[in-house]
Amino acid sequence: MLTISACSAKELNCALRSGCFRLHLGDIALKISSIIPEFNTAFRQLYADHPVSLTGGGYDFDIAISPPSWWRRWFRRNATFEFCGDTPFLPMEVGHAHAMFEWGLNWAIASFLHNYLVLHSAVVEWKGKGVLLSAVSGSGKSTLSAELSLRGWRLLSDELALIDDDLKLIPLARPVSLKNSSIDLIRSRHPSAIWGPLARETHKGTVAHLKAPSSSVEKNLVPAIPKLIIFPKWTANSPLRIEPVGAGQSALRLIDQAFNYSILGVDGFERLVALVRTAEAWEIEYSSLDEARGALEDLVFERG
Amino acid sequence: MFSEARQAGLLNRLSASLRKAGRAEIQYPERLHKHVLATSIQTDAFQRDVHRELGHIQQALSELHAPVLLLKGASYLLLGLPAAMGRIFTDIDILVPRQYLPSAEAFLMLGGWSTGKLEPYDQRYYREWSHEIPPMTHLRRGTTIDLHHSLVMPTCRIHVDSEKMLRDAVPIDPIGFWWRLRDEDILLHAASHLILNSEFERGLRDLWDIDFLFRHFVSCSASFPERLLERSEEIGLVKVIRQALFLAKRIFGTQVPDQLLPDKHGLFLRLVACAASTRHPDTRSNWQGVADALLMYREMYMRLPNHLLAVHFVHKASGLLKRVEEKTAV
Repeated sequence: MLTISACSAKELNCALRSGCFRLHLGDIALKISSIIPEFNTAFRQLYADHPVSLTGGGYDFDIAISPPSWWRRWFRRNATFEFCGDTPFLPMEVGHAHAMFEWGLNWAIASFLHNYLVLHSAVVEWKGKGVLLSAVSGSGKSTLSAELSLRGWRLLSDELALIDDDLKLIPLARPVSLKNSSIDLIRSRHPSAIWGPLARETHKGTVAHLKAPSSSVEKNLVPAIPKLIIFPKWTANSPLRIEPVGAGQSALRLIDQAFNYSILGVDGFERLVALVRTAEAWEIEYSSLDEARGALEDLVFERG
Repeated sequence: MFSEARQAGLLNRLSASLRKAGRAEIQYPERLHKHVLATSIQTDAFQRDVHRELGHIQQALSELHAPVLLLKGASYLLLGLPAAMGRIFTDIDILVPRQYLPSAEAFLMLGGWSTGKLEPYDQRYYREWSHEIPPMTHLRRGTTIDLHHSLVMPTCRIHVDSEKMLRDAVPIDPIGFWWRLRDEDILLHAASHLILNSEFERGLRDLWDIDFLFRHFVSCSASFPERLLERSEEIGLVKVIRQALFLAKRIFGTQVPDQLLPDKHGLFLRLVACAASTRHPDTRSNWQGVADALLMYREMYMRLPNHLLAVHFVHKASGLLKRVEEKTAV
């Protein structure tokens, strides 16, 4: 299938303008429209390996990145996230449009894809074994999944775990969103990694997106089997600490981080119980990414 | 179409209709079928929540000892009307007789619902002129109740005998806690809600409700159209019901007998048809913004007598100067 890297900037801009552009994010197809050059450029860098269509076709979500009013194309330039013609959020400056796209897409998936149990969790895979990294915002979940994905782990998502009725993890490899000091940390550890433009002074601070490894994007149609649930916690200067978490405790923590658990009702409960019964849960506290990765690889090898 | 339906707040109903028809009847791609299933999961959850919320309201108002009338979406659901199919709404509308209003509000506050902080002007608008008190939101669950004491604004320019509709209400359950309007009045209320308000971003849904209600009541009793006409004359809503049924027929092909249709279709009906139609940026009419603005002015004109209208416009115009965006950040 055609990937963005095989299209010229002109072809891409033209398809984004005409409404014929489709992005294939695994099983999910997005219609994306944009006339905002800053967004188009960042998008072209960050989604270079993703399969696309420039000639229309079926889609799940209809997303447009557009100026909030006609004059905002030229003066005090802003962009809104338009979802099926609605604008659920405030406009942001054009330099933040690519970050707004990622946030808006997360919102859309968590709000509407009730075929899946949707958890706030990163998902990675090592040696064919799926691992959920579930944690509240700010505990280093994205940084850890970025590090792992740059060290040969497969990335499925840095933000959302989609669990289907067969208990499979649905891949959604796309740019990893990193904030503030973790940007420089990953940048210094992996000088050759590809980044999108820096978005400064967003409501989440400075944000940068790391392009997902092409090997992960290529496997976006292959689900993973959950084998481990990890509750990571980064603490400055902390020695490595690994502790098992009981299945009940693990379920309660996952419910806390679930977006649509209550909507799924009985089915959500049953899916969650099945998940914690098949995948052991561990809590890991760390300050060194190398130690954390070593510990996770050992855990997958021994317990996954 | 799915994208437009999602925007119009109708994807859940479209999905419910598609499921009811069955996949053999109407062919659509597998990708869309996933969304049909996803929205039906959401609808089920929503309806469970409404039933639970009605239980909470019933408990909070158990000492009120007055009939509590259930209106619109929640009543369709409790009565099992087809109009409840895939209908998602944000507020539960209830009505108590005016003399019970203060105690109903007090009981609901004890139950955890509160009107929150309002600007003095909005407070006055609701308390002095409106047919409902400000929306009450539950502090923990975030659910909202619209507590009414009348079916239309008492200051409305069309004289509507809503007292009569209230007098003829009937209990739903054997213990007589929840009450409902009679069939004709349910439709008249839906029609007046559509025609006398300016919430046309939900206009298509309201029209579909009217279509569902009309079809259902006619299927239950062939003489329903005659009774509806007679009743609308008593209440003072003949023009309104004719306009609403004209629009339902035009968009949903409702089979409406001639005596329930307007003689002439003026500018107003064309404006409503434009405003209630698709609102998706790719397909909407260029005139929709104009239609919306004109209809909003008409709504205020219908609702308020001249002196209050002048006060209202001056207040809103001064508000434009210090307008604050309501939307939230991502």
